Amino acid sequence: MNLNQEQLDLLEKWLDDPSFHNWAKQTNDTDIAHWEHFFNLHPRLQALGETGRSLVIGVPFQKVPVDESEDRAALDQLLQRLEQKGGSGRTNREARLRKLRPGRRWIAVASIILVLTIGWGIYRSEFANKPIQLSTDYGEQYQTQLPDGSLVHLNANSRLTYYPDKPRKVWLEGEAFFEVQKKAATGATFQVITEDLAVTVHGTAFNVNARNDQTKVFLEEGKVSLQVADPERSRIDMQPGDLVSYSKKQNNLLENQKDVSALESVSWKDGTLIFKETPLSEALPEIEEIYGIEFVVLEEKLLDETIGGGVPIRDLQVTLQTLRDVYGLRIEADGNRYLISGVE
Amino acid sequence: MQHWDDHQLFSALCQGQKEALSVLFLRYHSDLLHYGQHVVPDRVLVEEAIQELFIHLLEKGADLPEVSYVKAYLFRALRNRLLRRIQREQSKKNKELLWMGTLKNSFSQEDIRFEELKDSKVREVLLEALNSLPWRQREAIYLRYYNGLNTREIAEVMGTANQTVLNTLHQGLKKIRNFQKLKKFVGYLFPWLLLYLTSI
Repeated sequence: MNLNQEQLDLLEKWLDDPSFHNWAKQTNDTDIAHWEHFFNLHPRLQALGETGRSLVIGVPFQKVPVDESEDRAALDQLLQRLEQKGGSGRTNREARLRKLRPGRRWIAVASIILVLTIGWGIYRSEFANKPIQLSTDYGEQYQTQLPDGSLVHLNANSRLTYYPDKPRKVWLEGEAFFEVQKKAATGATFQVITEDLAVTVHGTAFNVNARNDQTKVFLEEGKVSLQVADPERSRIDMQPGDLVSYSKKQNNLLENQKDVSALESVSWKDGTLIFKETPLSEALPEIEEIYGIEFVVLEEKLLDETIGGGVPIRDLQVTLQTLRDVYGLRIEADGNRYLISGVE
Repeated sequence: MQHWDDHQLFSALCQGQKEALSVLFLRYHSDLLHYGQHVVPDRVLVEEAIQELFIHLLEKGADLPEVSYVKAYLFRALRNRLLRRIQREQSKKNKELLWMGTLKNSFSQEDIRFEELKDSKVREVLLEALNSLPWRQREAIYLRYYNGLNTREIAEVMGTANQTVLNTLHQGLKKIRNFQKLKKFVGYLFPWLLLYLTSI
């Protein structure tokens, strides 16, 4: 039996949603809980959910291993064929460039003006262009798709703003991970703007952390360039694996801190912060930002203690318990403040 | 240029840049070769068609409209080339050239991930099910789960709508599941049937 229109529409929506994939493959606890809850609320859709799951899982194919020497040999053969043709490519193309006859040129100009006028009218009336803001509360994360298809994963206590007519230019406070939909053919870039700098994207995945009076950008893959808020400084082109941080307040630029693993910079996406011999003076502010709490360290030398490993960040009590049990911190609650009195 | 994404490479290729051709060719040659042989099981012919396709893009690519998915575009272009070729050959009554639409066994044991299906009987049943699917369902499943194309890209390759692809995938997977169930049922029933027959 074929799927009906309503089912197809739903499936199409679900399959575009990464959290649905996580549920189908049972890979992310939050997403599993979300979808279980959803299907409990809508028992009518349960069967369709299973259809969706089978579409995600599919057939366990094994890709034939790639033999690079074969690819090379085929390329050499191709280049040889080109050589024999004698590079006729360019002249052919030039010969085919058409010239518009004068009469047609006026029609072309008139129709362009017409289209522009109508377009501008629609633009003015339809999209009064109110900014759209996505925001997360303390201890909450949010994942969504922007109108251009780019994926945003917003960390706790963060705000993302954009205008409907320009979904590829966003303003960020807090922290977010972006997987940018490629639009290279049209040359349309994607821009993230923070207090400290502007990130211009030429495709793909990166993390922006604009907290604690500085902005840190981590590039996972692809190409981005940065223009910091200080116009004196020149543009920075980042390579995959680079971490750059800049503070407008202190006008302090740390460039190309290599050897930062992707794991540490973007681990929050999967509900865990990963630290690698990180001093508490750096680790605690990150946790403070996520929950909007305050740590008070009773002895200053405690700030130099380092922690290495993961800290879950979905639930404050679990986070505190981990800090106590795994990292041996003595923590006592005092209203919204947490007193750290020592390390065991 | 190694770090360029598909779209950057593709537009450079269409502007006639040979270096972009090399990078993009190496990136997709093996995928195209594998896919092509699912359309026409003739390696030499497929190899030739891939090379012709890239030469065509280098020389005539400037006239192309904008392409939304590069990999899907390459697949579709190769597919069209191969199907045209088949039509030409068949009108010349060259019956030797087979088309996968008429051929079974386009999948083999080595295409299935071993860790997930250690039991060779289960693998065999899955293969049998896959190979018994109609051509369109087989192709959609191959593009989705072997090549990791999303449904919109598959729609582009096969020249249909996104929702049609969803339906085709759904039908194909359901058939595979039913086939597996049937085999299991028969396997379960068979010893009893034997016992019954021998007891008469």
